[in-house]
Amino acid sequence: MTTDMSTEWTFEPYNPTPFYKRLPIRQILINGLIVILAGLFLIPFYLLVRNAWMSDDQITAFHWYWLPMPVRFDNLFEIFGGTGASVASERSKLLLTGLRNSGLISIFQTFGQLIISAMAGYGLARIPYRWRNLVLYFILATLMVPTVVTLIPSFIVIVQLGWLNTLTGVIFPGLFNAFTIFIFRQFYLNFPKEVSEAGMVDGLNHLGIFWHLVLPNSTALLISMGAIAFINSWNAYLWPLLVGQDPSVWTVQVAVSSFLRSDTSGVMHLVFTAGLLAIMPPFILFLILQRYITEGVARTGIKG
Amino acid sequence: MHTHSLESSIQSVMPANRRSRRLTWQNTLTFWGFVGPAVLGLVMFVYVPIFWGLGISLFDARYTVTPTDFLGLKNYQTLLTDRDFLQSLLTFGKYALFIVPVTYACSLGLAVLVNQAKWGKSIFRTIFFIPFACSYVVGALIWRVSLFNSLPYGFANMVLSWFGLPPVTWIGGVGGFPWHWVVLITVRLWLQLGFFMIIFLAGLQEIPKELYEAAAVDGATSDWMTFRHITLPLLRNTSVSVILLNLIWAFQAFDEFYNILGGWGSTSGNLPLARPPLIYIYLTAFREQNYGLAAAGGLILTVIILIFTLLQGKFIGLGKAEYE
Amino acid sequence: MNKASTLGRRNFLRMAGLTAAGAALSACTTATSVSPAATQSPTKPPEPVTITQWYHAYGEAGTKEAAQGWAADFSKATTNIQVKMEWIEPGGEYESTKLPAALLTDQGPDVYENTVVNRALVKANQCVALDDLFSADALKGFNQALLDGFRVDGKLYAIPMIGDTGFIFYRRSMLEAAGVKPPSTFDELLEAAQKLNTDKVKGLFLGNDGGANWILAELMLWSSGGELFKDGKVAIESDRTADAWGRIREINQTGNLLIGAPSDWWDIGMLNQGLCAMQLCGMWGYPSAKKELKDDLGVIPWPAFDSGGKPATFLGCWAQFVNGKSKNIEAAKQFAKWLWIDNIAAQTAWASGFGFHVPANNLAAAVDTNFKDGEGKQLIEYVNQYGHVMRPANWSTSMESALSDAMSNIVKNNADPKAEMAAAAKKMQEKYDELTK
Repeated sequence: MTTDMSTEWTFEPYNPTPFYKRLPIRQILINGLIVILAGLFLIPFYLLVRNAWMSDDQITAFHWYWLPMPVRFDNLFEIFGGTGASVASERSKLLLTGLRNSGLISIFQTFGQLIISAMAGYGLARIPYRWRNLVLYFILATLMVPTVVTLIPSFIVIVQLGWLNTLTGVIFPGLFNAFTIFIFRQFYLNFPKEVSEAGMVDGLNHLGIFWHLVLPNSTALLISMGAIAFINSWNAYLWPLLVGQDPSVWTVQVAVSSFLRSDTSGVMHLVFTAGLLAIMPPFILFLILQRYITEGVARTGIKG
Repeated sequence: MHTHSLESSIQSVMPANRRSRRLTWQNTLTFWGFVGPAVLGLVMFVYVPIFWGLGISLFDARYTVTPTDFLGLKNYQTLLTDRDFLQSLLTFGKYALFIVPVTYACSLGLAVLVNQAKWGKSIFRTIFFIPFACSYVVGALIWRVSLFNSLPYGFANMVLSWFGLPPVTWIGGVGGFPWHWVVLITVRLWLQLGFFMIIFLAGLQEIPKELYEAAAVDGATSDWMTFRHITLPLLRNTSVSVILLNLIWAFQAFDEFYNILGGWGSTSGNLPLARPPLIYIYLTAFREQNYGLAAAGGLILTVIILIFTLLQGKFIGLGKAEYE
Repeated sequence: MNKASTLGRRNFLRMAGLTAAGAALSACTTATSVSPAATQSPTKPPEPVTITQWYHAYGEAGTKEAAQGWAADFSKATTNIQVKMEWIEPGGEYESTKLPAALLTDQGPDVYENTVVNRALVKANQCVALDDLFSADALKGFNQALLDGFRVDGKLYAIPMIGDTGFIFYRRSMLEAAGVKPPSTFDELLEAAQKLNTDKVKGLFLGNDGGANWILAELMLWSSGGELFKDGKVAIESDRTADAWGRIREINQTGNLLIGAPSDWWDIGMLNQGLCAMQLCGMWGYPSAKKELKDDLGVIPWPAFDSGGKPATFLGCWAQFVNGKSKNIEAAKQFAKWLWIDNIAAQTAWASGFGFHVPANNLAAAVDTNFKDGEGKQLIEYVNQYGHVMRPANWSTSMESALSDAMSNIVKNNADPKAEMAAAAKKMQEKYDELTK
């Protein structure tokens, strides 16, 4: 939050002139509309939070409870294996495992993707090599390939590698993202030559320059790409569903989805509590790094 | 993998041509050291799968991924004459017809609104953008179980009851209006509007203020006129990428359809109501266990996506991506 | 199929089921000491091998422990074969994705349970013929209808473990209050749902899809006198059945069905909670409903379509398979035989020790007190009289999809039943031909 960003942009309030347009009534209308829309946007969160602290009976009551009364903190203890009867505790275990796996997968994918992409970006931008552009096109061409065509065969590749139902299988393909590579390459193209030349003079090779000079000077980009990668990775559903079929490798999304589609009877409150827990890590990250994420989204216009 | 500094000091005492050749060789090694892992990964998970998929789509790959019976183009023929596959394409078509323009209009509208707000701008931006951090699965959970539940305890039905209206069967009702589309479209809007709003806001920032001032001098007085003649044309590139991105995502829609309509085990729930292509392929591969047919489906979809992209490039002129 | 259950059922089982389970376990411990040793060749020193066995997660309390116990008993008795039991959660996705994905690889389970076999599965080496495990007497002991579902080209590929079926469960008091008698035809069902429907309690629950699925397609087919296959051809097409399928739309249109319940048709909890007055549910829901509703519970088979039809129930089955890709096929077969053929106690325990299911083995049914009299006997009679195998041999999930799609189109999209039926029949025939060619 406090780090300076290399490319800063903010939304300056801007009002296209004529004074009458600045009349309070106009602003009141605009802001009024925004408040209403914002209210609509918050309803789903309200429902998630409300249900997460209720009992099933309250959630499904035909009389609407606006707030959980009393707040049922037991839901949380139930998930973390405190109280709760056997069905619920089996579910809870799966949801907890899911949270742990999601954490592992997202962290590995985020850091892995960052280091692989930053290195490739640097190589493509700064290391003289005859076929450099050809390699760039080779990488960029993969952007033209929609996931749907590689989905089934990638699954087959994973099967052949013996990675079905392993975290490796879930994590690995997510490490390689042509778009992130491209963004880093663009960034390093404009990276001041003086810095790397200074490194050369100090006797550093490319790895040294990259590690000691380039990476520390691209923190803003690393943070914004990393935050987006983390959120996408945490929220990913289809690939973990295919490859991580065994409950021991379920992500929290797959776990929530399994209960959502089958059987919320008697455990509805737990599924909502798990849903609430499931959105916390990306939310906290979002709130802390919003500027970087905004910047990253605006820069790329590409999610995933 | 990489040269170390001792070698570089040796270089300085070598004859010039040998040194440069050596340097080229070193650079090549270093280059692959840096770029190699990425290329290897992309080969493994994009290039190999494409060709593998192409291969397997020509075989009878039921219950196996190492098929032996060559079928030729039969899988393609089966798909293109299969009512349900064609139906899934139609489903996507209907879906795209709604989701793309609505997302476009709403996200642009939100961006313009937020841009003009006098106070609380950053708070509202956050509120509209934060669903980006929420997953489709959790979105589906809220929508299916709580917001649009068909029983009276669903939030939407509760609101309807204020006006004395009877509860609506949102998912899986019969006759009359296909309410499930309301559920499916609103969840996606909620999840992605903020994202596109941010892209538009960035585009709005880039429009020089002077243009608006000049327009005011020229007598462009209404908001609509400045929007129509300045904002919209100057957002052209942004618009193109927003539409294209939105279309591609819509084409690959899976999560919310599967989780909102999907059932359990051998009864597939309400999925037949709206089964977009990716779900069709998923079910073909993992329920029917016909990997050849599924791979063929993936390739057919790819061709369609490519045609879309090329067509829109021809008609709207794909802004060489603003990113370059 | 028999995914399931509520806390209520578990508590009930703790009271009522444990004695049977205990009996079953002790019975099979005694069985261990004899049979595995008998099949052992004395000349070869036993090389220790480990085989894995997969179950889908059964909903009933105690099942996992029992399965674990059997695996341990066998391992102890044979010493050279270790059985590793794996309990695959959640049961509902076991056969649709988890098992098939595992069987694609070389690391799949050696012994597993599944519900269907066809020629393509055999060809893909996912199972081996098990005829040599059955003595003539043992073969006779099994439910023949279930057995037939696992025969392809005259060879038997599985040992039936547990049968399942479904009925309409209802609350007697509600029917009496509404002045309706238990429906014996579809018209009566329609009428009963209408009369039972109130603001708070829906008339009937067929699932959150309103019954627009293959199970209802089959029930309507059978109850109107049709059948799935005849002489190797799909035989579902008839005007009468098309008419019957169309009636599912009609019952949906009345608004008397429960839709959007927190759980689906296989969970009897919807009836127990009072969300509906009648519910289609598997027989596995019986103990829980009995416990909750006591004498208020009534059970009938799916009613005849009209006076010219017959009531119908579906008959599904979990059966033990041996993986053709297993590195220890012989050991796996030995274990499968020991557990599900030689060990009648296991069969009995599986049928009614923990929940309530159709015994796959008649010998088990004969010794099982749960089916001797009263409602238990009545339910088994329904099955014997009206049961139809829901997944005959050479079945595949694509046929289920074809039926579900047709029903969905008819019910939800107002499509013409005859046209949908023709399309479904065509697709099923194509799939059948592909599987048997």
